Amino acid sequence: MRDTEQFAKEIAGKLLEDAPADAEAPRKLHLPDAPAASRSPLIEMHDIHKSYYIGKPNELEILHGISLQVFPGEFVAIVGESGSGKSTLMNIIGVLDKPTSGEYTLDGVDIHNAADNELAAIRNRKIGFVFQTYNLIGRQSALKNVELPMLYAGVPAGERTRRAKDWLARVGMAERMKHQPNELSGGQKQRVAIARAMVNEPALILADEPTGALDSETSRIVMDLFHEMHEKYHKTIVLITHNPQLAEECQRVLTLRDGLIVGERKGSGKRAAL
Amino acid sequence: MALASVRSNKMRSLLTMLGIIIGIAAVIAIVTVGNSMTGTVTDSMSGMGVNNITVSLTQKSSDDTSGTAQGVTLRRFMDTTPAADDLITDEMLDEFAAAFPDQVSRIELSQEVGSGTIAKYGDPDTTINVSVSGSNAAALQAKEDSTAILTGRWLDDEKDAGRQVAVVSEKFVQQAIGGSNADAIGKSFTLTLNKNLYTFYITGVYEYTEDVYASMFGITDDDQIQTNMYIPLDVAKSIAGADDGYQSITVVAANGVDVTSFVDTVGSYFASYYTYNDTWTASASSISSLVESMTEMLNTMSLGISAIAAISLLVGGIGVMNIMMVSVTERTREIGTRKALGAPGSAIRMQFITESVILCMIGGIIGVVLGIALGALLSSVVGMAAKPSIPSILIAVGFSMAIGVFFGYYPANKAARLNPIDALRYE
Repeated sequence: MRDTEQFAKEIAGKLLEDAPADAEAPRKLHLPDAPAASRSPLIEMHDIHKSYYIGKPNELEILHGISLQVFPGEFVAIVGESGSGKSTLMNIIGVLDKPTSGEYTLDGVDIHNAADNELAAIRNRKIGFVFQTYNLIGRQSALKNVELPMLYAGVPAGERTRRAKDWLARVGMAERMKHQPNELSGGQKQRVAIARAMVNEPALILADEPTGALDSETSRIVMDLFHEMHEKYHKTIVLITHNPQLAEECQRVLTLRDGLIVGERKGSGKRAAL
Repeated sequence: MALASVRSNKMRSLLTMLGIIIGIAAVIAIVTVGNSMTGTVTDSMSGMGVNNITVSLTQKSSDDTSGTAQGVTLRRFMDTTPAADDLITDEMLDEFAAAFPDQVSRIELSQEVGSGTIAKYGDPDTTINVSVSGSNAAALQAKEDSTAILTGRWLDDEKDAGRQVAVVSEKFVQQAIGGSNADAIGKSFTLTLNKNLYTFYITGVYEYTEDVYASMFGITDDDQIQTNMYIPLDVAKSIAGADDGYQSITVVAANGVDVTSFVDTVGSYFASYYTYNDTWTASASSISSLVESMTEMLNTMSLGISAIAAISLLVGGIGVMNIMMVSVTERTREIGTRKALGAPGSAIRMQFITESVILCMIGGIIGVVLGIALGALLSSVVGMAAKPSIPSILIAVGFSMAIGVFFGYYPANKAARLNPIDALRYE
């Protein structure tokens, strides 16, 4: 354990030495796609740093100062190799974790000052998570799984069931809502997970490698579902992936490398055959 | 939700609950048995009179230093029954009654003769058993309080002294004499008693009440019914061949006398007659002191079993805690997911405490059912009606739920405090 930490630190150190020159540049964001300035960004990050083992000899900085803005209605992809800090960035965007330093405002709420329970409430109301591993609750029906975020939001039982059925129908899972996760295929599970992410009408859908465990055919279905959520319901979607083809489908692609955003470009919007 | 997780691990849940089940079952069983025992004892003893003090001869213990001669120890070892001059005499009783005129209501004397047989009326081949005892009027007066005389009269000490008269039950009249109760008065019958024949004249017929013990052992066959018959004390003594004097007497204290303390006074009064007796002394006891020592014994027993049950509950509680820790670890990813979906720590904590409480409550309910069944079984073995106590059942279920909260809190809190990122990534 110790050795790997040491190793990781050395690697990080080397990478830092290698890339100090162009480290400054990407921080200045040009937002070619940014809508009119009157619209305030949904995600506003400024100089976010994230370190682990703070104050210990093996202190390790993963994110070296990330600034980004995501505007309402955008479909943004964040791509990067493994170890680039994608997961750490996702945790911070999803307020599962707090940055070591820097400013992060999500939908007008300053995350820095929020207590744990407030963070839970922010996740509940403002963010819908879609994970690579689906993370449905076992031994509970698809319907109960979709109801779960509303349970924590304090939505009355009748309303919960109504909305959950509604969303399951929208993702094409109406016939299987009584099934438990272990009775569903991977693609079906991910569709239930998307319904669960949407059901609380969050401002942001945060998808972490949502097609990582799926074959190409089901991946296509799931991706199309994301496009539908974006186009039909005007959801803001941040898709984290290492698959360049998927990233290309989005409106904007941010490239992460070694804890820094090193590239930003428009996506082609072309849907890949996968 | 919590039930689903209990159901999904049936065997594990059952094993976890076992400690709780055993503990609660033990407590409920012992409370049920204790309850029915005290219930039966008080029921049967309330008829015997709480004012009664029994004075009886007992052998002096080996460390009793009173006595006169040498070789006392040997004599105490040899004498197993009191000799004629060891018995409580009429003089002692007169002196005693004179010494405590206000406290003593009456002194009941009786002499057991034994069981007599008589041919059944209209069926000479069948014999009926009747237990014969001699009683003074005072002893019969106690009967009178609870049993009605139907025709005739109870015995009188002076009028009936030395006379072959008897008070019998209506059952006896039906089975051995025949005819109505009124017709039976003055009739004579002959009884085989101690291999001799004795003739008695009926002076009274009393109401037959079913014997507590007969009903307890399920004797309902008419031929087997044991009825009592009372004859004058001196007649009984001569038939039994007993010496003058008594091995045991019953002092009935007057109403308002504190029986529990009066017992000691009576005991030491009679013991004073036996200071110079080598082997025998007199001691007094009362029903209330008997009941007291019995409930005391029962309480000690329940306390001991409760202690064992408490240990079982403690062990069961630790088992629940252990299994909840395992459950939290197993479901780390689920906890992470719930947190990501916006569950506050309090909701996670509540979820696991609820699970642990439900686990313990189910265990408690199974324990209560098992305990009642066990208590009923034990009660029926000793021939008493089971009396499960409702408050103790409620307390037991409540207590098992409290165990759930207490031992579920730590694992639940651990779950509530999990870092959502670590929990989500947990393999």
